[in-house]
Amino acid sequence: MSNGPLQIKAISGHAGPVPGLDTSRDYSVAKLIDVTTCIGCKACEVACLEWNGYPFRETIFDNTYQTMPDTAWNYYNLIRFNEHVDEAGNLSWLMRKDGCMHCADPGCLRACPSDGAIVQYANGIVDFNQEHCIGCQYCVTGCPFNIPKFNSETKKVHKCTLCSDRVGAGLEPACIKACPTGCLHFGTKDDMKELGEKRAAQLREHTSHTHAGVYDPPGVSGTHVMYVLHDIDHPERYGGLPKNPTIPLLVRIWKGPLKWIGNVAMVGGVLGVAVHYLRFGPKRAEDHK
Amino acid sequence: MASRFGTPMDKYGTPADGFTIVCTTYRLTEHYHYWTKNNPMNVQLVPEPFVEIPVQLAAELGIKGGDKVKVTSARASYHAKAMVTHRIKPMTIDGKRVYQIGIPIHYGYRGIQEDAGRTARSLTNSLTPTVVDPNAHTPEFKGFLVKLEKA
Amino acid sequence: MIERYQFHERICHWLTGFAYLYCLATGLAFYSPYLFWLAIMLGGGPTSRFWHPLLGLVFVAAQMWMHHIWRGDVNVGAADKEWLDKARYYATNQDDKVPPQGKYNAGQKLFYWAMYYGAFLLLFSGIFMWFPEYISFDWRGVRPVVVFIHECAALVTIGAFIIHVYMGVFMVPGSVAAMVHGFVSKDWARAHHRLWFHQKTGE
Repeated sequence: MSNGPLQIKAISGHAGPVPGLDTSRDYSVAKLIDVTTCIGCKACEVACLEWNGYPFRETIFDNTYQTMPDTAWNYYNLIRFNEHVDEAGNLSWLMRKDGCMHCADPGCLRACPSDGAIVQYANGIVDFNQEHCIGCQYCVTGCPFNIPKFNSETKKVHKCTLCSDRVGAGLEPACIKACPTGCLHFGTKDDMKELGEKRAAQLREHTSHTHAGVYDPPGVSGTHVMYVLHDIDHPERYGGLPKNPTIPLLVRIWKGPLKWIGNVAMVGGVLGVAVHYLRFGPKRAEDHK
Repeated sequence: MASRFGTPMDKYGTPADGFTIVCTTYRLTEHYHYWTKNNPMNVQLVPEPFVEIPVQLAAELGIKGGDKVKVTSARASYHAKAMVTHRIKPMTIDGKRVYQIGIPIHYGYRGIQEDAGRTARSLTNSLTPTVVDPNAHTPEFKGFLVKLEKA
Repeated sequence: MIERYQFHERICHWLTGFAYLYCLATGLAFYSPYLFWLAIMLGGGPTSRFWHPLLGLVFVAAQMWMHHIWRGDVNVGAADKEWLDKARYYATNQDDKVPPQGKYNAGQKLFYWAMYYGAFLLLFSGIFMWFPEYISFDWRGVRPVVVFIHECAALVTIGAFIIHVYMGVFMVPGSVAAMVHGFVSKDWARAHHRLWFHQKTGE
């Protein structure tokens, strides 16, 4: 999405350079989440609520620091906490910022039947346009990460927008702005991939995390939200991140071959009966006595 | 050598009296002192007071995460829900297994949850001893003995 | 003229038919982006999504009413096997080679049962699709399965529907009039459903 005239040139009272100055947002953008430096402070959760104008909600104690069990239509991202104890008894307290992965091949978009309800911008952001949403929740069926969430009162589905409005103005997403440790990075997909790989290499070479890696799943053609994980072989330990996510097979068949079969059957059926009528004509009662 | 200010709370528990668990107090990232319990944003992130208990101690006492527990020191008692965690490991001191539990300080008499009647309204710092170090008189909040039971 | 369909039967048939047509139109809109304009025309995307399952329920209820009325007439028997063997003669208008039929021939009975079972498959899968927010994350595997069943069942009923409309409107003149006014001519009855004609008139 080109942001030409609205790209920010200067910001008052701003410590440091204008974020993304002279970076063309015409490139594909990405968010890199370095799980290894996340402290689980939840500033990103709060920043997201505040930017999107959602209210704070009542929560209950559930034997975890995790704010609530799952994201919601008005709670786009959630730090998932998991105390993982390995066979040797070593504890890792894993924290991962969960939210929309902005897949390059989005299952939500493929499944959605409504014209214009889901759009994917050239920069990779996958955005919901609630105006056109019919509330069928096919997007929930298509998503391998269980991200889109339904609002049962308005009958619309919502998810992280990667702050498409902020990005369109040349700013970074709200969560990235709020992160105090700088574990959230934003930039072009290439730059973020490179940054992630460098960090993973650093972890592998200089720490005990010899299986560190970047999570950018090929099954959905890569994502515009990537993770640096201590252990790329066990993403499920980070609050259920799927190991090899793809758009569900039945969804791919449904939106692919089944459509073709259906179209051929229906058009063929109508053409067939038309041709049959031309060939054989109607049954006349007088002729069939 | 410890300096003492005389107060009615000058009572100290000993293991012989049954105070066999070490207790410490600390702060959370999501709350700040005693005013954030009035702020919906902070209360959303960590809604209720809790006591962090090692998995092994919880198993011994039959406590599950979310159960109401009572922590008693020689001076007062504290009621909250249990958070059962691997993050606090049991210690071995003089060959004996000693457990530590931890209590965040941020809850009290008034607040969003307190006013809704959803907490026991006990104060963490009623548990702590009236002891200061002799040099700077820094209060001893970080290590004292308690009993723990299901409430 | 012989009475073939009484008033309540005709009401039942058209109620079932129009409920099906609404579900067909909105369903096709959800099926293909090229047909999404059907939903817009019928009151908008969210409106169509709202009414589609409700009219689906009407369709199933009317179908069950129809079953109550016609269950005696649609049982498949030995005579129907015979008809199916000779079906190609029926299809090519060589009706003299087809054995005489009762009130409904095997082709019509096939259509009836296709819609009957189709309706239940559509209902069963449709219930899950109506309120998918109640399917828990652990049961999420169910979601693409029910959508798949729903679409396949719908396509089968659409195929059957195309043939049904073709037969009734074009192939067998007098059929639509029968379902609107309730009566058929003696010639029609004698030609297409001889055994039923004999039952009704003794001729």
